Amino acid sequence: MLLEIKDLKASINGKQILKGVNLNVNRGEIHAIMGPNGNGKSTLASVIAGKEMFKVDGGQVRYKDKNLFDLNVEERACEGIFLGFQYPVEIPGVSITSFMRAAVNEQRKYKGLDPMDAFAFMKYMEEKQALVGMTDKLANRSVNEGFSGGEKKKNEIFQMAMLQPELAILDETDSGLDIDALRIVAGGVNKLANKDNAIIVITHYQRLLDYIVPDFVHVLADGKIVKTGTKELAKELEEKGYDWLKDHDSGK
Amino acid sequence: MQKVKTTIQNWVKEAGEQVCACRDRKQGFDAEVNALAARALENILALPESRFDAAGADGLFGEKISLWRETGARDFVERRRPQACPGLPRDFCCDIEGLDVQQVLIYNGCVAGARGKNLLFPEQTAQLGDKPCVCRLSDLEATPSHRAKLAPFFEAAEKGLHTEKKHVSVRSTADFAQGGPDIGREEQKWLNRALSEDTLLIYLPEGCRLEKPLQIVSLNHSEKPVFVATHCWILLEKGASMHLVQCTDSHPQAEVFAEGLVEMRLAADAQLEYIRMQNVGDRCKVFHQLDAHLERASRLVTHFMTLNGGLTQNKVEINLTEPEARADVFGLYLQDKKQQVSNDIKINHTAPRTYSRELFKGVLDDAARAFFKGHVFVHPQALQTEAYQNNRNLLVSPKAQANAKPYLEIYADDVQCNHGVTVGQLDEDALFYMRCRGIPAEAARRLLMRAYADEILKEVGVEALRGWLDSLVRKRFNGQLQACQDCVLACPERTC
Ligand SMILES: Nc1ncnc2c1ncn2[C@@H]1O[C@H](COP(=O)(O)OP(=O)(O)OP(=O)(O)O)[C@@H](O)[C@H]1O
Ligand SMILES: [Mg+2]
Repeated sequence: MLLEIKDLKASINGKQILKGVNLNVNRGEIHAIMGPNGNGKSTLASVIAGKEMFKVDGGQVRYKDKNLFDLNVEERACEGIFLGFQYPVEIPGVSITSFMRAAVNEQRKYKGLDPMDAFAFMKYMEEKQALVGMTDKLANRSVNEGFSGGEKKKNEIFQMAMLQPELAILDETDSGLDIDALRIVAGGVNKLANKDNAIIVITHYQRLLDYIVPDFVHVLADGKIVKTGTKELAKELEEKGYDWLKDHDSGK
Repeated sequence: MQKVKTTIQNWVKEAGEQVCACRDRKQGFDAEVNALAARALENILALPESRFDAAGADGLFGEKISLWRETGARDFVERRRPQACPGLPRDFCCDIEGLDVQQVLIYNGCVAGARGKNLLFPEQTAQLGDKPCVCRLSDLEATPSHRAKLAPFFEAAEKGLHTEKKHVSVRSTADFAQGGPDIGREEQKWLNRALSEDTLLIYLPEGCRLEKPLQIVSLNHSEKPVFVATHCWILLEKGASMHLVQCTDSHPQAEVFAEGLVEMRLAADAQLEYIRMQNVGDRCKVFHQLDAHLERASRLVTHFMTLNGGLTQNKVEINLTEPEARADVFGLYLQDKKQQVSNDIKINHTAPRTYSRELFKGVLDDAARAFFKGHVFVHPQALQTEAYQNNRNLLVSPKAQANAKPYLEIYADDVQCNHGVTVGQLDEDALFYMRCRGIPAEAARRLLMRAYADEILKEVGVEALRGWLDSLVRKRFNGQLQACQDCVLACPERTC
């Protein structure tokens, strides 16, 4: 198993957000996590990525048979965990090119590989830019600075393509994308998905799941996974909303 | 107190003797050079007693500002002047990679190169004619035409005898004398003129564009505490233009108090890009002054790059004396440990439609401290002036400190002026974002710091110079203290 989350509890500033999450992800799988606003989806992603702001109060997370919490943020990234941010951060003065060169070469160093030479790197970058339809002009700008919402999301997928993670968590990568961009970005994700990696998409819209077809759909509500199903569950949620789940739960 | 005075007097005497011993020509500006020093000394000796008091609050070496207390007179009198005209370390070189520059070396305050010659073209005699010229003032023949060209410099040096009364009145207006001379600046100029052995002269005739940048390397080396003064005059005639890089370097272990004064005159339409690189050991002190006069539509762009140094002070005064004159003053200081830096910038707009922009940025680590004082003066006649002043600080450690004192003094209507100061920390969200991509925290911090510095670096006009500065800044952030790697000074095991 690639990722195994057992009864994970986490809080911020004393406020408990995750209240016992259980989730198993195997290589080759695509998972979708849906759920109402403010119920802990991004928190779960941040805890897996290693954001120190969140305090882990209990439970276990094993990744590639290691205790995830033994690794710091950058080690997790080098071990193949990628977080596509819901709100990508602007870094004025650092170009996408130098940012990615640093990231790619640091990850190579971690794996004991030599850094990529400048020529090979540029070629590699061009290839991945094409995958998400990113222009050179954008690539030479500072990371996310002044990017439109859609450009920021494209940039996240571009970075995913560059870093070829084993576990990608894409937090609302579809929001803010126009119809064409959504198709391009989803197409990019599909090209990157293979039998050796796994993808978790966090989304509010069933529409994305028409392009990126999940093996499992989970509903995260009030800090827990309250329901798991197939892609049909997403369709049901689209029709009925989340209240239906609550009724269903309480009726149980 | 008496000790400070006698030290200065003795040093002036020593410097004078050294100069005489070095010179073999009789036609030069020797008399004027000596008169200049004598005049400066006279001015110093006429200062109120309190200025010589090491323990007092109001000393000659800026004891008033606590930041400088330790540099005070006590430190000064314990120093020596370096040996007369020492030989350069034989294998010294300072290559700016990928860049063809012309180089002039100053070693411990003494200009290297043939006597009586133009240091740009060693086969030519030094003269201010229709060719660019770099030479010692004492190597120049004292002809009427030379005198006329240099008259404004001599006049400035003549000025400035303050009685005790005047002195006090100047100080009482909170350091600012409505655009008039600032006593603190003046006395430091006198000190420099009195104690420097010679004056390096840089001259460009009308319409001359110097293609290659000129690099002046001031090399300081002494294991015993010394005081080194360098003095420089820059004269750009109408429409002349050049790029000038002045580097102050030292061995990491050196104990040098490097005092430098640059006086420059830009005639109409002249353009000068002036880069001041300060990269000395932690036991060095650097006091630099720049005094510039800009005529009609001339343009000065300066970059004060304080990469390393125990204590660094830049005192800048720029006079925009004719319409459309324009000055861009950039500064970057990267300080750590217990280093301290002060940038004190005064810009006098005395003519209409003049423009100035100041942007000073600093990254302060450990217990480093920075001090910024910006004073923009706009004369009642300087209508449609634009003046922008900005100081930004990045504190990357909880003990680092930044102090800023922006000051706009505006007597004209119809002007555009603003100022701003910020003190901030590294963006935690950006750090997390970068770490999430596999970049270790330390490397991510460095990337952010470099990005911060980039805003200043990108203003450098010559691409190769920009690349060179960028690599120095990068090395600095990588913890390589003495950035000029290939330089003999950078390897402590080697003794020069
Ligand atoms: N830094 C913070 N300080 C305080 N509360 C926080 C912080 N970050 C998140 N929270 C709270 O944690 C809860 C869960 O937030 P989270 O971002 O995980 O929700 P989400 O499920 O991703 O919502 P959305 O669908 O709107 O993106 C929310 O109530 C939010 O306000
Ligand atoms: Mg969210």
